[in-house]
Amino acid sequence: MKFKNIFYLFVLLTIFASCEDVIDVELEDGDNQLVVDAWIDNIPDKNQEIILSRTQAYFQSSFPAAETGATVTITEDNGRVYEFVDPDDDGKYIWETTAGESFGRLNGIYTLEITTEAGKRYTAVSTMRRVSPIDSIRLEDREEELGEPAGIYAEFFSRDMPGEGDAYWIKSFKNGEFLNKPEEMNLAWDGAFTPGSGVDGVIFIAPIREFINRVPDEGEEDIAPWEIGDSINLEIHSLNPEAFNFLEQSLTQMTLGDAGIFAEPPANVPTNINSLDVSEPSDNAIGFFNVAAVSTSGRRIEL
Amino acid sequence: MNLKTLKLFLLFPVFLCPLLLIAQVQKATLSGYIKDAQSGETLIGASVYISELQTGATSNEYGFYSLSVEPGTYNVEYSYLGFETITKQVELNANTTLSVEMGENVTELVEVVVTSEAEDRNVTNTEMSVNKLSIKTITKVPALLGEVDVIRSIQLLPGVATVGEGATGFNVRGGGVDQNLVLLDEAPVYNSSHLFGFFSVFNPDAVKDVKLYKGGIPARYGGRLSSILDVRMKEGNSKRLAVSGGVGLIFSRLAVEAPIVKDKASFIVAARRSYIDVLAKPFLSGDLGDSKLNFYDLTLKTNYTINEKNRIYLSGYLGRDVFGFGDAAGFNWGNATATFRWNHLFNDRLFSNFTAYYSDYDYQINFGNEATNTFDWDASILNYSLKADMSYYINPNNQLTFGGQAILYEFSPGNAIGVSEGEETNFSLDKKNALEAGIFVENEQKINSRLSLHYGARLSYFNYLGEGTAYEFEETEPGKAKSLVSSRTFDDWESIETYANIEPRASVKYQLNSSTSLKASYNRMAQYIHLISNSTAATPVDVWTPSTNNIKPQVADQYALGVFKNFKDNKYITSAEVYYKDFQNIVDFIDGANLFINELLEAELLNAEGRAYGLELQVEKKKGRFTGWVSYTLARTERKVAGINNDEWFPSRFDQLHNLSVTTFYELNKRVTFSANFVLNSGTPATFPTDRFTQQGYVIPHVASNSRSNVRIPAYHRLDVSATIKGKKKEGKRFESEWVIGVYNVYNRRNPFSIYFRQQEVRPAQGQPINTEAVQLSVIGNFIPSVSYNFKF
Repeated sequence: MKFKNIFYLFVLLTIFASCEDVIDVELEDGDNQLVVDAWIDNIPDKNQEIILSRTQAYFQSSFPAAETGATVTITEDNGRVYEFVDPDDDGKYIWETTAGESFGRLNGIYTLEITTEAGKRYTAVSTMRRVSPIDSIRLEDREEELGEPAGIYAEFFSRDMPGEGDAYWIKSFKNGEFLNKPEEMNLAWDGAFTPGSGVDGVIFIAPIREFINRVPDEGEEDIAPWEIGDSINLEIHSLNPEAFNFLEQSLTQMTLGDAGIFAEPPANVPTNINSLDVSEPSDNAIGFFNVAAVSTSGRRIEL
Repeated sequence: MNLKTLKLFLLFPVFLCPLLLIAQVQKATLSGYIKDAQSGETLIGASVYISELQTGATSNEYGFYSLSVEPGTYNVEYSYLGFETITKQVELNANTTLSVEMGENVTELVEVVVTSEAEDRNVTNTEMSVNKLSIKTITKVPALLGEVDVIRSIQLLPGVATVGEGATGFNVRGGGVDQNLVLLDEAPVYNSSHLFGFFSVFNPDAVKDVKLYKGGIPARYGGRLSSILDVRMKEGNSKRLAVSGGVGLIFSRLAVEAPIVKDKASFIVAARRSYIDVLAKPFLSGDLGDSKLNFYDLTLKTNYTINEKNRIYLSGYLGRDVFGFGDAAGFNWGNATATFRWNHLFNDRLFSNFTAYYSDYDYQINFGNEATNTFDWDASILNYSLKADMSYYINPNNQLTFGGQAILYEFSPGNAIGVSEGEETNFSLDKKNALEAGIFVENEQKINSRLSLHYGARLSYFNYLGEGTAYEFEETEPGKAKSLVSSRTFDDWESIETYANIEPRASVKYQLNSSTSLKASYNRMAQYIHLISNSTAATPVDVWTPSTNNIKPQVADQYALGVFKNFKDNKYITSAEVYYKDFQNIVDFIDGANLFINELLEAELLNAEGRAYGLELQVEKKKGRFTGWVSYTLARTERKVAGINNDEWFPSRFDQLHNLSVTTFYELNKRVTFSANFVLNSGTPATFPTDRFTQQGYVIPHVASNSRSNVRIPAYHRLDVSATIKGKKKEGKRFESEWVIGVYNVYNRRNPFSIYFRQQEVRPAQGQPINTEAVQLSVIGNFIPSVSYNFKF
């Protein structure tokens, strides 16, 4: 979320005669590039997964083709090697944890190495950065406000660690289900929106604290995000600055329509995957590798 | 100021001396003001012509004219379009002052002639790439929701484009919206829009005259690359009290003008306010009932003629857009300007104008209705300026204009204060200061009856001043954010960086025959302040920034060539122009740039070059019951930025190959006038993805070739019509009224503003692939009828 998004709140309420139509568009063919989806975390007892696939035509509504037969490892700066294997041949490469164990250590530097079946090599580096603990999740029974229905709303409290450059991805789960719409993606930089503001060490600012509430689906606009009996769970994942930038830009590109006439130019999002054996453009991989430390908190909503 | 620039400044006036020597021959000067007899308003661009000598002059922006000729007795003809031409016999033995009032109330002493010299000015003078719109014409153009709009009318002229419906500002010959200098009584207006871009800030009741310079820009103007939009306000009726107003769907308007001292001092006050919020209130439930959504503007002007040699003016503008939702959230923005001017006649031939102005644009956003959790954000651009313009009417063949200007800027790029659980955090960025100065000289010279020249130069200078921190960056990879190398702090008023540019300007006219001429022009423009905006349409929250040690001044060179021809006794006015424009140092942005509350913003700016070229055709029918114009532009505008679009040229977002507009008026009888306009534009460029890929369950679009502007959205076309029905005027009564009924977008076309791509809006289900779709955004999705009522007395 950028500062500017604040301003869209006003725009949405005023465009009086605009309309949106889903249309048919013909698109050019793509390049069939390797996609690396490697978001590793240190949640205990959790198997870690790296998904390798290929890009697909924009309107192709199926799972992307899996990249099978690759060798995938992550090497820690202390020499430990984590091997990721694909037992089901579905492009999902897994490192199995043993009971009570979690991936990596704080401040560890990790190198991802991939060699595809065709012999092309790819690398990426990420550091497991520190994460702020979650102090509490507060619930509020709210009146109708700013067009949002009356009901239960949640807010979390956490303080950014002193020192600039801490980036976070706050994931919210309702009854175990990840709130996975693009407009629900909640990112923070030093407890505020974006780098460069000089803010540091603050209690996460109000818009971010409250951005853990479920955005209503179509036809449910008058239903509040939480009800009695629901469980709410939060995970804060630490991000490398480049990963923050990747998610921030991905969010912009996925939600260009929300900005209406004020949309930023469409552009490719960055990648931190180095492609070592490029003989033609399609040998360039896209996607991202980030190793996160995670803090968690959860509660059940009771009377 | 470094030594080299200083020398240039000091030497500059020396160039004037040879020109001044021309004026030594014994001559008599006829000078004065030309005014509208009914309202006392001065007339800009009225013609004075001495038929015996086949020579003449034109009144300037303040209605002043001066003609120095051999002593003798002459028939002097005064003419102005829409007014009856008057001829006076003048015995010109010594310097004579003759102010004329033109209008319907001509006395028996003057003779009425049918033709006049003024009507072929477009052919005979050196001006090219200039469009003048009278407020009378602007008022007749069918308008969105019936609201007469200066900026929207300008978009019907050749060479003027926009990124799309509802977008703020306009694009002239490939220039960005920040490359237009919009002047309201000499003071710059930094955001010319109400409601994000739907309406412009100029109240038509207070506007007298609108002139757009797209090329051949005279040396007296500077500071922007692409155009000058010179909006002049009415002075106020100096004869009698006059009231005009109207009720429309968006605004209600009221203007009052009256003499303070008859024929010496007068004023005009014009106000508008929207009332969407008032109308919407009953339909909003709960706390939304406390919503505020309005915009208003207030324009005032007063003038005082001290004596024949001195006249002063004071004008002001205040406009604001206000949004609010109870006390939970608020947003407002607006411009404020104030101009003081003093016209002084040193003698019959040396006219001067001194201007002091203040202009401010600012916005404020605030959130939070409990004191422990609030967020306040504001930003502004503020400037003060002093300016002097002198016109020296050497002889009918030479008019020398010279002067200078200094502008002091204060930029507030963003002050933000957040209170989180009672803990205050200040995000504010440092203010930035700068001084811009310019001196200029230009001469309009008639070589002979066929050849005329207008040439000059502007020397501009810019100083980026402390206090503040200047950063030094290093480029790591083209098109990516630069990395910080070092920073240095500067004290108050300490010079951080200076720039200077010499901007030559020239135009030439060659008359082929009495109704045909060829013209050519060249101008170099420099621009020292930049609007930081990377969205399709500029937003009210975009901030201006000065040139700094990292941001170089933008520079553009433009070459234009034109043929001007009038047919059937100036009934049809036609022109064809070609131009080529070359831009340097245009501000562009890295992908995903963070433009707000970012201390290191300069690291995310890129330096672009641009080029634009095109052909503009216009045919205008000036006389008869059926009038109007057709304009057509064939154009290309491109940008090139290292690191974007694989370092290749790409069309800018407002590039339109074809741009056609037809604007017509038909006067059925004295009471009923029909108007229609039709526009057809090529689709603007867009970037469409080729592929998609998945990260953590999100589907992200991807362009395999990494190119920008790889497709075009469908063409834009629209027809608007309106009818103006005047009420019956009662004998002996001054009261006049009219109804204007109109339909915007008659055939209900959903013109695309943009096409974007997204995951389908349903919540992605676990273990299921995600569907994607293309969505067309139309800003106006329907035909929009309107009705408004206007009156005056």
